[in-house]
Amino acid sequence: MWKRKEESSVNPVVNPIKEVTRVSTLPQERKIETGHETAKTTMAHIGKSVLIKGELSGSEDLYIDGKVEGTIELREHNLSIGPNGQVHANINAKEVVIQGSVKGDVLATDRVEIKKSGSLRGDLVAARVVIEDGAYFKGSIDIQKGEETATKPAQPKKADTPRNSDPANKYPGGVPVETKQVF
Amino acid sequence: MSLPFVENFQRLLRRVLGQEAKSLPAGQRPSAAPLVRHSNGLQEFWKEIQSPAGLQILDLGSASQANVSFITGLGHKLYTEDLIRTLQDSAPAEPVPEEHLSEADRFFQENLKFEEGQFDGILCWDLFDFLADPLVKPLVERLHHSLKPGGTLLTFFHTGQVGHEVPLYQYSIQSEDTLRITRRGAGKLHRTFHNRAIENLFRRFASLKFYLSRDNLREVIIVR
Repeated sequence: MWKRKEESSVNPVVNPIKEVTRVSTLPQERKIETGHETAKTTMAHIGKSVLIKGELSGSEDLYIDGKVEGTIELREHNLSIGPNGQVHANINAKEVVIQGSVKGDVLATDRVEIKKSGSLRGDLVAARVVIEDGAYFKGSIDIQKGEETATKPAQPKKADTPRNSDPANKYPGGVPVETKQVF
Repeated sequence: MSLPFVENFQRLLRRVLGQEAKSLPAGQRPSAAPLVRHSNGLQEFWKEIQSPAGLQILDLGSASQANVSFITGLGHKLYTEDLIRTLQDSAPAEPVPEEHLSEADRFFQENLKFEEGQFDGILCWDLFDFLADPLVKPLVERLHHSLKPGGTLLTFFHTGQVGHEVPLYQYSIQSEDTLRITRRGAGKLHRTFHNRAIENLFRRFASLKFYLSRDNLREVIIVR
């Protein structure tokens, strides 16, 4: 009469897709000590044994713990100078944090921070300035808010002659760079 | 020879040779805690300066966030040059031979290189008390050169005795008439300036005003 249904002997498919290991194309995160706090961020890193002479430009954040002589152009990105960093250059960046030593003019569209171990000899133009007690600074401070700073052309000076620079302390090997007008 | 005698003799020798500052009695030693005090000199400085934004002010003390915020907040441009720190960092290990540049010449070749009449106001704080003798008059000349005619200089002088240890302060501006002073070390008082000596030192300037305070600090407003 009633025909009994045949039980399906086929086992259900549980997971037809092969498991895939996820691979990130993003650069690996690197921990960088920035004084009191530990900043976890992605940025290019120049180690303390590295010496660079010339024009340094980029479109990512940069951490310098070595020596740089010339110019540094990061514009919309941040620059951190570590405790071993020795920079002899004019700097143009969004935000600059100094723990080491800088000789040159600094133009930041956002903020400049000089930590207590840091020293800056040169003129500074920024929207905000933070100076910790104990930091060394020799030069002028010009506070210019956002748009003013962004549209301000770079100082029409040679890269190797910040206002307070000592003529006797020119770059040892001469700076193989030309200054550029930044708009 | 007993040990305390040897130590006392060595200390006496260092003092005679000028290598040790006489320390103040315990009760008179200034505390390390920051102190907020009224400053008539500072009040007068800003009164003399009063004018629209955009002036140029030189601060010869150590870099201070409070001073940066206050002065740039008024719309002025601030120059900072910490001469005491510069002197400490650049002290020669050996005496310079006489045929070479004098100490003052060398110092001013590298520091305080400003245009004539560049500044509307200079905050000198107590710098003169810690300078070596050869630097005092050249510094006054350099300040006269850098200050505009009618520009104002604020300077402080300690009233202690020569050779005594005096605190090296960081002066932070809290308001137009209030300072926060924080001890950042100690130095030996190189000389005591009486009012007449100060007048002589700044005789090329147009006017001087003295303000006495309770904490052994004379404040002087000098107009070029």
